[in-house]
Amino acid sequence: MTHIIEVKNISKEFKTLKREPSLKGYFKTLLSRNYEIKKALSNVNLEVNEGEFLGIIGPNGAGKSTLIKILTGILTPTSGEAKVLGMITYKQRQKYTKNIGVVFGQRTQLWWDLPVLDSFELLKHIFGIPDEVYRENLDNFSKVLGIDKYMSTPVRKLSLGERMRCDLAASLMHNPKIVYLDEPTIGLDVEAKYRIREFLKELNKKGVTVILTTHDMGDIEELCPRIVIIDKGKKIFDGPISEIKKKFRRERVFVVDFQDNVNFDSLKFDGVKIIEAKENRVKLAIDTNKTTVSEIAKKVFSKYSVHDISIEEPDIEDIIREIYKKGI
Amino acid sequence: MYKEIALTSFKEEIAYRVEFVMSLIGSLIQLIVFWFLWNAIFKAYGAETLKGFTLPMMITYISISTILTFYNKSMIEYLIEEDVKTGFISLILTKPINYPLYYLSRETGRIAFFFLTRGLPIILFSIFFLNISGPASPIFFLSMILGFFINFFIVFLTGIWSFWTSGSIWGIRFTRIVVSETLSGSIIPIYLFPLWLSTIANVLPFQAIYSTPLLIYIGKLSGSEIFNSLLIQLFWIAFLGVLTVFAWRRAEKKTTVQGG
Repeated sequence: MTHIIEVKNISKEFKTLKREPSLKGYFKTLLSRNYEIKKALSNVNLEVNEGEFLGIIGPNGAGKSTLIKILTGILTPTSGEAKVLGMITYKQRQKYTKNIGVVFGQRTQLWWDLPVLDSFELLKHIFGIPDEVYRENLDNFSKVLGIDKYMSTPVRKLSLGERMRCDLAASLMHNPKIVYLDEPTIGLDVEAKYRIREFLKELNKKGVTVILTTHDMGDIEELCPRIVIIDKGKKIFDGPISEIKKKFRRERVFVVDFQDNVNFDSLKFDGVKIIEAKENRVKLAIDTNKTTVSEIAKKVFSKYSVHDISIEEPDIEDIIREIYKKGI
Repeated sequence: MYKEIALTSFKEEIAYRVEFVMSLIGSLIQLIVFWFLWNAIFKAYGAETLKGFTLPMMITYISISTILTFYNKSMIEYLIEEDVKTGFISLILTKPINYPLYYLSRETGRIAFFFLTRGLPIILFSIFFLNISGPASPIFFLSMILGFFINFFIVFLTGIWSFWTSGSIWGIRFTRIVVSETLSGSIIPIYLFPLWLSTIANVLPFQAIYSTPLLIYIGKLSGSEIFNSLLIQLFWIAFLGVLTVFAWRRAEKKTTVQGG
């Protein structure tokens, strides 16, 4: 099977003028221009199959947006090649963009002063959408996304959540094969997020390939079977989210409720840290590189009579935070 | 599709009703002031004609000029600057759309709206109160449309500066407006300029936007002169058109290389 997205070894450098502070520095930059080269992406490879739902995450400034921009054809990489649907995105842009939908969460693609419906109408003509397709999509989106009430409202009067739903509908009017969503849930309330997630799930079920960047781990856990982590311009992880959990579940939390009071010091086994100890309950952090939960459980059971146990799953957000901090 | 963009621009203009009334009043006041001015000039001068212009010709000239100068009020520079500043340009680039044509359509919609809603009242006012005459030749309408394109290219080219200079578009736009008001024959016919100034005006494209159609309207140009003026207009369209395509390619490249 051929991949719908094929990114080969792309790097992107930005040249920025280095300006020194103070008046003296200002004149210095007038005389000699010092450029600073910033590497936004280095040697990134990516392959995506048709119908996948891929999440791209990474800290601010890691290069996610640069990658999305190259994939949508509005940025040319310094080296390497990005091919989507058999087209080099930044070289065949006019032809390529007919097949994709794009939402940048921080910006709107709707016309600010126009009622929402007028923007949709305009997009209908820009993409040359046939009447039946347009009407069907409009009906469907306004129902599912609940935007029928805003159709005659100028975009500038919409709330962020309302606008985002309209933006999403706008990006899908022409039945794109691939949708790129750059932080579509940024700043949205729980209800709006839920609605958008449900909508995206349905969309993906219909076979649309979705590429999503986000800072919201809820988006990732609910939507993306596969994630790519980008850090400092490099792809540091590519795989299912379960793999990340397995790989980084170095510590697991084992909670034990004892029948009687126990001497907590006696629980200090090798590879075990006591995080919390209160009355009959103890929380043990188990380093899975040194030992296993069952090993520790066996030791605890053999020594004391236990009332109840539970094993806490590590929060994906904590794992990601740790990866951003320490790297993979 | 570009037809619909023009229509949308038309609709957008309707949204600003107060602006509409105010600018109509402004145009009328300007016209009346010029009417008094030229009356006073001819009275002080004491002769029937001033370098071949009679007073009624002059009044017709300024009436039609009041409508044509709607060209000059284009906001395209600001719109392009907005696109660059807000990053909307990136989103436009993700659509199968040609940016210069997109703005050409928007400008067409705006001008059509201006002509219908503001041009018409001014024409009626001029016919009933200032006794102006109709166009000496229907070629005026062709020349007027050619002038529209020349103006569009100039405005788009000044707007394109936003891709390199951020925040200074106000000054560039102001210069464009002043030059195209003074050196185009839109306020004072170039015929009345001193020789050195009319020489400068004649090598600039601005006279092809205003002076040419206006002189054709009042019948100041003969058959062969009309033909030559149209050729000059076509030359400017070709020259500025090529320049626009070139400048846009550079701007596009800059955006796709350095980011929006």
